[in-house]
Amino acid sequence: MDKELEDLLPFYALGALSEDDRARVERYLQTDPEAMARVREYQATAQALSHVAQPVAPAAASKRALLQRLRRSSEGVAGRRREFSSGFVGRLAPALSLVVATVSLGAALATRAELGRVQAQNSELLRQLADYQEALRLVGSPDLLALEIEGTEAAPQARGTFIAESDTRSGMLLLAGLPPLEPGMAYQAWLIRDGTPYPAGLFLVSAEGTGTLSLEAPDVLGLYDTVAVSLEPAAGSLLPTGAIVLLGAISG
Amino acid sequence: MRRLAEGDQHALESLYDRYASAIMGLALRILGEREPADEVVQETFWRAWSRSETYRAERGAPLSWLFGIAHHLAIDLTRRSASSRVELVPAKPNPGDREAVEELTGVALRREQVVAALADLAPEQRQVLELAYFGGLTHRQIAEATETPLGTVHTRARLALQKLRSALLAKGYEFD
Repeated sequence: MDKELEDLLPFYALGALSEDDRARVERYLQTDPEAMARVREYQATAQALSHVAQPVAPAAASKRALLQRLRRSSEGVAGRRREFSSGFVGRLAPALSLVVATVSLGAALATRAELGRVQAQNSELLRQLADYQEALRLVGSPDLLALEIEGTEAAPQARGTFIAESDTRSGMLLLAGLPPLEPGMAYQAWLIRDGTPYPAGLFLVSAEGTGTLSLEAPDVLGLYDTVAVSLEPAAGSLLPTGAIVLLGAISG
Repeated sequence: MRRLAEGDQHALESLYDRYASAIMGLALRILGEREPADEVVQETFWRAWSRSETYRAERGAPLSWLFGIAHHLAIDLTRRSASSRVELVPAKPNPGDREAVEELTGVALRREQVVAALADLAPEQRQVLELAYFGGLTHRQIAEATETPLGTVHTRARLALQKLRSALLAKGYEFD
């Protein structure tokens, strides 16, 4: 038992550690199941504190904005199924085939006990399939912005492509070679302008390390200079807190 | 939650109608201002929608999951604004907004249990929890703000959580 780190466990549960201390605690927790059990108890207790806050109705505009965002997202999904570009089909066909085959195989092999897990995996793969289809639609655009992005030292095997229409706010990340995620973690994309990162969406990766993200930026994509991906808690962050695993310059 | 994971937009609306006030209350308690708190509410439900597959029923009820997302977002915002870091004044909600939600969700009962359990703690233990959970202060910042040795802050936080847990169990609080 590490006394110094044990002292930090209550603050970890309360969400009140610096990034460095949080990372140290998380490394410690991976090596000590008993410490993890203590943290789980602390976390459940800390979370009860949320109930102290008295409920307050949010602004009506907040719900409207959420539903508008949802509609825009749904229109994007519908649009994903419209067009195919023959030039890009060849490059994406293996990925599409893999996704479709994996979904089919997963369904065929599922036992009752594994059904839930396989269904969740299939759901993620089907989402990736929709994203690949969106990428196919984008490559038909005359304003295509496409760039390769490279893994950093934190994930040297990672690589990917960022595809977007430069005069719109929507784009697509197609990624591979990403390390598997620990429970409770996710990858988060960022668009960076003049040194300021803007969150662009969260995503998980398949067992093969592939992931996709249909992202929406606060401004048209041509205004940003860099796209990046970092490792973050599953709930996401407002600024990058974990290791940057992919980085690419946008030259729109 | 199953309907949400299947992409049912009505499920998101139902979830919002049921829990948005509780999430707003937490965001307002942490941030102290309506505008950023509204943004946290919207972002919380957007993330619930877009990342619904990260929800694990065995890890807790939907409200606890949403509280976790909202707390993380609000504390992140607090840390970006040093001026709001020590803003601990509770928000003043509109009483008329609360009744329907509390009746529907049982939030009122849980709040009553937690408030009563907190009353069992020593004031300095409550203070550490307040500063850490709602203020977003780190252990070192708490030691500095309260002019207390760091070791004492550590002890208070540990005892506060242990005592709070015992008090909650004694009052019939059901942990997720």
